[in-house]
Amino acid sequence: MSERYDRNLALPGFGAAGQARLAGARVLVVGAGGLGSAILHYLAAAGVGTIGIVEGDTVSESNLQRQVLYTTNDLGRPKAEVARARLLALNPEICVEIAGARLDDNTAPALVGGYDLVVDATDNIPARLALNAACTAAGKPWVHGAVSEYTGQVTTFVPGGPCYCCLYRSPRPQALPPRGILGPVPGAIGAIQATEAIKYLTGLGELLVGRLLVMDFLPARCAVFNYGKDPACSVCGSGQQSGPAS
Amino acid sequence: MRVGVHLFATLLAYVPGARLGEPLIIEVDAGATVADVIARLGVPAEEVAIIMVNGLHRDAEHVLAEGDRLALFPSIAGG
Repeated sequence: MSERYDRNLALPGFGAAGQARLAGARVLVVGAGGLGSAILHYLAAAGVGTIGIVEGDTVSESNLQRQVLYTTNDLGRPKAEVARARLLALNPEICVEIAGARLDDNTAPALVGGYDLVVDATDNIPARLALNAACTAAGKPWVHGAVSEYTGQVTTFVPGGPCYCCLYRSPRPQALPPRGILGPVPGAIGAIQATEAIKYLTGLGELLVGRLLVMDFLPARCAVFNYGKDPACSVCGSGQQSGPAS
Repeated sequence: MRVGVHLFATLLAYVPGARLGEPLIIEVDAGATVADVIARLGVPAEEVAIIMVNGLHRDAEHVLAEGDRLALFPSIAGG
């Protein structure tokens, strides 16, 4: 008998039922960069049955400092293809789909519609706004993550709860130049996102709904900020036809 | 009057000694706004993406009151 999931099965509250839930789940990961590398690896390793990847970039040398799915031999190759091969080598028992190259306002509804859960591994705010609008309209949960320099954050959005725009009321699309990022930071944040995804799929623990977990790795400190559903939210607030019932 | 300010993520770097999870207690004049506090702390206004006062979204022109808890977040977008 396979030992692959022994450590999952031995967990309190997990068991065969939890593993079966993972096996039957379809999860879309939007982005296969720093966050995505960790998210994809841990979801595949855990046995999520179907993983979709949205990624249109090719592997470049500066990626290798933190995007742990790729090697020097992959330079110039499409990230989605490399990621798919790497995940299937890790776990041949799952299905890995290249769902698309780009998530934006036009492509988001069709992309999220085919999955149970979406995990945000994007690197820009317009994509997150598109993801938020599509997930809110479709009633899909999603796990947000973001990083910059030595800092990262995670929160989870579920139907009926606050959305990304309840937190970021007027997000600026990309007003500031890109900053540096310490390699392990997206790895750590991505691992937390994968944990949230597994918790959602298995029903275990408490999700980061209405809670923004912020981690500052330089002083090694973390904090949780509580936030609520904004009745005036332009995406999910009362009176919006596109959101879930408030 | 005194207000408590929580800075998050990359905004902490603008205020020496500021630590995630620990509020800065500062004295401000009556009638001071959120914008006044942001300027006083030396945080670039364009880097503040979320302003919360006592857990509610407010804008930079919001007038603060004694004991208010102000939370300031940047826009973190990398992945």
